[in-house]
Formats: sequence, structure tokens, C-alpha cells
Amino acid sequence: MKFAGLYFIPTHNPTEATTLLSTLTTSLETHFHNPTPSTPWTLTYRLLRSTPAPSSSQTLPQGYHHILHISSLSQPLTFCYIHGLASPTQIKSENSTQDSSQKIQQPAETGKEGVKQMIITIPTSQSDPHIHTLITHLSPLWSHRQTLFIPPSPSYSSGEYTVRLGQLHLSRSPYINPGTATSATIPGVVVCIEAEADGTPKAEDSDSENDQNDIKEESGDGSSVTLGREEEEWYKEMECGVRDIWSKIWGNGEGMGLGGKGVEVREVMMDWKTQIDWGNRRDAQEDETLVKMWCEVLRLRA
Amino acid sequence: MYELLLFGQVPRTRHEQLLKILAGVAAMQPQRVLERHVIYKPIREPEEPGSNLKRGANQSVAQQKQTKQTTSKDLYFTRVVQTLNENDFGREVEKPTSSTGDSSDPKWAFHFQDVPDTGDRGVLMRLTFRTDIVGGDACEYMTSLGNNFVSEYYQEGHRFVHGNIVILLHRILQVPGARVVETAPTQSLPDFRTLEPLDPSGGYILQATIRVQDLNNPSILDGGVDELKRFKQSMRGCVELDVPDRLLFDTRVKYKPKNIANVGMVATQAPVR
Repeated sequence: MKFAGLYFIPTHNPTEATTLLSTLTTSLETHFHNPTPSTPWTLTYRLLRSTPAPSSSQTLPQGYHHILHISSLSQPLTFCYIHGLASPTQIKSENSTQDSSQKIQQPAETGKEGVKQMIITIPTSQSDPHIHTLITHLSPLWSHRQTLFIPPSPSYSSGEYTVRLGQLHLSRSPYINPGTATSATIPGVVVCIEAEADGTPKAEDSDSENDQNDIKEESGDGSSVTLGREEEEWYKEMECGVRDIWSKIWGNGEGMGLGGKGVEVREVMMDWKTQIDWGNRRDAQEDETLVKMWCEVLRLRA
Repeated sequence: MYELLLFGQVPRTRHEQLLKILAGVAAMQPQRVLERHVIYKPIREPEEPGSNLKRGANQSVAQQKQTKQTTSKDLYFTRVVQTLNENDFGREVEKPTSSTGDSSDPKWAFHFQDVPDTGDRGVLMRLTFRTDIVGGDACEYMTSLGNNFVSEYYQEGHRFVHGNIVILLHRILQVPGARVVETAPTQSLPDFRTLEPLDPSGGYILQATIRVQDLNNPSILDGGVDELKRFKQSMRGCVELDVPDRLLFDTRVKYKPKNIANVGMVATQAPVR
């Protein structure tokens, strides 16, 4: 079982980012109980946005295509996460005015408010050619917005928690090697606090309607599988633990080398309540939820 | 990546004989190939040709010179290819259980092929990309990319490797019967024995391919072309390898004026004119 929380601290220049990273590392070593340096980690993130139609007669759903590789999550795989945005009004008006040749095939997993989302994984070795295909030959559909990367950066472990820190570098090129690339533009610093439990608690089948504390989810085969109380408690405990660690590292934000200005730290937690059900896919769902968490932060203002 | 290609036609009666000849030439047993090709087309319609050019009847000459000419952007048919074996037929399509999947043997792959280059080198040359989809639903991905399902077909044959040449002796199969307007890939594969060849004569296609990473090294490109030509020469009398019309492999979506009814696409490897 995994849980993670992500903190993004915006910075205004590389010097500020370097100072912040150094200060956070020192604070971590001070407040984190016996931190052990772990394997350095890297991150590569590309954001594509659906290209608007050239003519006003075609109003097609807009969306984002995130292409994310995190060495600590999966070294050989890169995640491709498509997150579409279409208001219900837009979908209804398109379906009523389109002829049969332009009928939009409704994608799966259309959730609330017409938001569609799906994730696939591709080999990391093929991610650059895949992106090249998307932005060069499928450019009428997708255009490159931004590339962010984190060069090899430190991570520290203590018990079941791991803290990863890194400077986010912004690049104009969609093709970069985070091991060797550099950039003069650093939008901010990210701190990811992860927790991982050994073992896999067994999901419980529950027919009890009297148990108000269980959250019922539908598994893929239609059977009702409940979140076990132990698992729910573990997630809640980890969420509190992550916030607690962050509050010790960050404190009140003073002395972080940010010039005393009001800093809006963005916190995003892994959404375990709505995005994970219990079944054979739990590990994969945790990875997908982590990917969505990262993409929400890395999209910045694009 | 670029492909250098030659094609030949093989009558059904010579298929077995050619398999044995190729096994001898390549010094290997034929590798069975069974694939399902699912074709997709962008939802977006292509622009009218020439609409990207500024029509400046009322503009001054100076303004016309300053007007930035935007390049036309083509829309392409793309496909996902599922690798199959005999046991997959007659059963429901296996849904991916996770997005992480099994990286050791991905069954799905995203394919893009550009229209072959002009030029007369004696072989067909085209840009191609392939991305393995390790985990997640490949068909959903294509839909989420902004595509609509067009059609699907099956490719059945045998593969050999001879030096740098990948030799594919194959034919196209499809579900027989009246054409049904499908809006999504089938959820259960038909019985393999019920599939019928697209070519009623039952003929096969011999495809010889060399892949070149990039064309910046002329010596590598020339070496690939020469190797294909030598293979063509060695197969003379057995099967005639030639360069078909490049526009038969055009994967671009054609512009259709609104007053012309859309005709359903035939399930072929490339849109047939």
C-alpha cells in the first residue's frame, strides 16, 4: 500500500530555488528521525494540450495529455495520462448538431461533468519518439505546452516514510535528458513525502448495511467490495503523518531564503477516497492516483 | 524511424513453396504472425486545401508580403495493432487489468506511418513510428487522443529475418458478411476459421523491409537500399518485388466537401483510392 503528499513551493529565480532546496534539506536532516539517503530520483514531465480547431464550426472537447516519468515510481515505464475537459453543455450541443460522420465516440470513464480521463504506460525508451509523433505528425490534434524536469535529486528514508526533494526546471524543448539537462528557469521546488506499508491487507466482502464506517465501492466485476477499516485507517494515518512531517520541515516558512514574502505553498494529497477501490488492481490504481496527483501539480498554470 | 520497402504478390497456390524457399534463404523456420489492426481517424475534419493561404484581394502588396503564410497541417489515419495467437480467437478481448501491465511482452502497439517519400531510389521509403503500449486500454487511448474508430482487420502470415531485411509473407483477413457500420472495436474476437481473405483469390503479399533509424547517414541509407535490391535480384523468378505507387500508402485524411456523402472506409492496410 502506498500513500503520498506533494508540496510545491514557487520560486522566482534559480538562486532562490537553490537556497530553498538547501534549507529544506537541512531542515529535513534536523527534524526527520535518522534520515537515510536513498537512491537519487529524477522526473520528466511534458504537457500537451489539444489544439483548438481552426474553424469555429468545429467545437471539439479540449483536453490535456500529460506524459510523466518518475524514476522512483517506475524506472522502465512512462505514464501517459489524458485528462479531457468538456462541459455537459458542450457535449449536448455537439451531439445534437453533428451529423453521423462526426459523431464523437464517447470515451470510457466519463466521470462527473463530462471529464474524461485515462492512463496508459509506454516504455520510457520510446517516450521521446512517441512525443515526437504527437507534436509533429498529430500537431492538428495536440500541441506541446511545457516540459518540466527534475535532475538527479536527493531522497531520504526513515521508517515507512520517504521524502524526495527537487528543483523543477522548465524547458522549451520537449526532448530532454534529465541526467544532463540544465535550465535557467526554475518555477519552484517540490517536496514529495511518501509512505509505503509492507504486506497487502485482504479486502473484506461485507453485506452488512449496519456498518456505517465502511465505504462501499464497486469492483470491476460488479461485486461489492468494501474498504476495510484497517486500510482506511492506514490511509488517514499516513495523511496525518505526511502533514506532520511537512509542518516540521517547513515550520512557518521563515528562514527558507524566500525573502520573507508571502509564499503560497501548494499541497496536493493522493486522492485515496474516490480513486481506489479494492480488488486485484489496487497497486495499479495507487500508481495511477499518484500520477494524477503529480500531474495536477506539474500542470502549473498551463 | 524510416522503412525501406519492396512488395510482391504471391498467388495462393505458390504460398507453401515460397515459405520453404524463404526458410532456406533466411536459414530459419518461419515465425507465425497473427495481428489485429484497428484503424482510427481524427474526429476533426481536414481543412479545405488552400484555405491556409491568405486570400488578399483587398490587401495591399505590402500587407500581403508581411502576411505570414501558415503551413497546412495534415490529419492522418493511425492504428493500434494487437499481437494475437490462435487461442485468442473465439474469445472476449482481454481487458487490461492495470496501467502498469507486463513490460516483458506488450500485446498492443500504436503505429503511425507517413505517406512514402517521393524520389526514385528503387525502393519505397516512408517514416514510421511504433510505440508499445505496456499497460492500459489501447483503444481508449486512441479515442482519448481525439480519434474515431474506422474499421479493423486481421493480418495473418509468417515472418523471416534475412540479414537486415524483415520478410513478411502475409494476407489480410476480415469478418465476412454484409458490412456493418461499426462504431467501436469488437469486444470478442471471431472464430479464426470464419475469417475470409480480403483478396478473394486468396493471394498473399510479400513485404521486404529494412528499418533505418535516420537518414542523415547516406552510407547507411545506400547500404539498406542496395541490400534490398540484392534481395530482389535473388528472388527474381520466384517472386517479383517492386515499388508500388506511393499514393496507395497515403495515410492522410482526405478533404471532402460537405455536399458529398461520406463513403465508409474499406478495411485495408491503407486507404484505397
